[in-house]
Amino acid sequence: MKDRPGRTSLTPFPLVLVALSVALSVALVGCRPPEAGGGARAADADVRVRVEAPPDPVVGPDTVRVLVLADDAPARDATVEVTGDMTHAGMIPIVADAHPDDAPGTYATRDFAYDMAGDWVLTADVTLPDGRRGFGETTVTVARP
Amino acid sequence: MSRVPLPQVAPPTGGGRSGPFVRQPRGPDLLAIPGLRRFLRWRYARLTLQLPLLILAIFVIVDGLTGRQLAPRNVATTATWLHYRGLVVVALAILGNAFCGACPLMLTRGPANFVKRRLGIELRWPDRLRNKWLVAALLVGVFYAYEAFDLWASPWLSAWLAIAYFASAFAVDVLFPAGTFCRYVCPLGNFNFLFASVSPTQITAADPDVCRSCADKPCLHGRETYADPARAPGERAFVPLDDVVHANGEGSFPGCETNLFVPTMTSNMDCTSCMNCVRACPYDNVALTVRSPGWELRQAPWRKRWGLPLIALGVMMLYWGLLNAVAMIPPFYDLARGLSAWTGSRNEPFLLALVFAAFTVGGGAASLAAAVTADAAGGAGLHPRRALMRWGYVFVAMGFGFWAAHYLFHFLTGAASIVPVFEHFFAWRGANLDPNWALARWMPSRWMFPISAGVSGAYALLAAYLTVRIALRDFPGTRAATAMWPMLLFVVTLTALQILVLAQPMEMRGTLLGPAG
Repeated sequence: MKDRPGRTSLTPFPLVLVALSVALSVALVGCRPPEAGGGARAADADVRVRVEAPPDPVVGPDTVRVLVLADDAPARDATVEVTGDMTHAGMIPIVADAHPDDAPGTYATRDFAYDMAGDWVLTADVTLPDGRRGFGETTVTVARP
Repeated sequence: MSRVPLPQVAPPTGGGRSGPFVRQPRGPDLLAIPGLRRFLRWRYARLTLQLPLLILAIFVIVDGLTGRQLAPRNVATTATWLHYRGLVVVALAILGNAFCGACPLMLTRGPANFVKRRLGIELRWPDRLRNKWLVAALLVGVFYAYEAFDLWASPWLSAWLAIAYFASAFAVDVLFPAGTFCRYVCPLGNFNFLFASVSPTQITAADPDVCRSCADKPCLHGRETYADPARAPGERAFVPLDDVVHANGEGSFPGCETNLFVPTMTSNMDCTSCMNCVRACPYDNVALTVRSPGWELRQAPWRKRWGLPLIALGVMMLYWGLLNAVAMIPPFYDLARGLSAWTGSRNEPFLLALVFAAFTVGGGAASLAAAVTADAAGGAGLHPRRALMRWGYVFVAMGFGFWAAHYLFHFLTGAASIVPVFEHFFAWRGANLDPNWALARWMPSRWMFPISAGVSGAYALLAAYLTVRIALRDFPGTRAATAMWPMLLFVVTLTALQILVLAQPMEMRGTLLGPAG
């Protein structure tokens, strides 16, 4: 690299290391990432959603259950959409509707199937008849069959 | 703008040298495409190419820090780990190091120069770091971090990685001469430099004799051209306006950021495709020449420049690329659990470090053994360094093939997902948009293996071709045939391994040891 005449010319090896360390460690600085469910489409505070997946899921069909409470009571006639996303970008999500199950305020998917082993994030997007919305999320690790 | 006839630049006569400085490829000049040279000489050409990537980087940082922390739905993870990586290998394979040319990190140079002027000093990059060892360490650090911190799954960390790149470019540019960051620090840039060795284009001198007669070498030193020479600050070679035949206006035209002299270039290494040389040359004598993908590697240009650190980095990229793909298939998780049982440790960073060490040492040893065996079979004796410097280029071609196959797999799997991801970006912030995630199903899954295996196989063929050419170049008579066979065997074996990896079902896990880990 050319050194311009009239400029200071040093060999600051420690200084270089310090500068690089400071610059690269910027990536490790900071607080926590945003909480799930934030953003402009945040849930209504009085709508609570819990997503339940059976333990030890494997690749193939599975049932995801969603419990919806509105004003601390089971919510009926809600529209519930369950989405499964893998943790890697570019993977195609699985989207399925959840329908009322046996217990009040409980909804279950009928045609939901994991298509790959690995880590999944299951999100339930709930809309009540009066327009209020709620979101729930859980993570599962799907094994090979 | 003044235009005057080209001065006499005929080669010296009476025993003076003429002809090429070094052997450069002699293919068609892409800058002869109507309008392209004119565009590249335009003052704002590079900015025009940088702005889209700068805007994308802003989206990456904003969504990564404030958006939904779900990788497939965030611009930070999707644009970085899917689109950027995929398009980089496509560009390298078809066009060249276009991404360095359009690198938005270099937009920090203006502010950096401002701060540098205030500081009034410019430090000299230390001699002991003027090689590719630091970059090799930074590259393996990035690959390790990618696995250890699950960067593919974290928009937050992906955004901070982008910020760290910008901060590093700024910091290095403030303290050191322009080009230092690209040449000695940037892991992304050096990934591109390394694999631009298989690119089908290279900057060359259209007529070496013009360069020989050129007094100021503006492509290297830069050029200042003014009607009134008194206006020239004098930091670059001053070329009188009368000497300029194809002036792209008055002003200051920077030379090569990384200190490359066009007529002596035998490699794309360190060429950022900034096209400063095209702008600075007053004779329009810089060409973007089309060459064969194996041209550079069979010339062995790194023997004279950068030497062992670079060839070692080139070889190791093959195995780090293999690990990058292996880490997504079932046998890797079985291996990790076995390693955990063997060491009695469930510490994932430790286990991952062991895996990296195994691939680095094992891969390096296997390549060295193949190279030494080939040399010995050809009768060249046992000189490990010489053998690696001779045959190492073969592994570079294979390495690019596997990186390209892996990145293309991801890119083609979900390229169109960028549309719903951007829709989600705005929907997350209140826009009335309903992202169509079905768009992500852009290419049928059954096409993925044939495409990725085809890419890997194509570059394995290139590696085999290089093996034959190197053997014929360096070994006389029948020794060439005996020398090439160990390397050909190695290429075939490694290709089979690569295709086996690509054929495995993919898993996406954020842990080495599974849910119980």
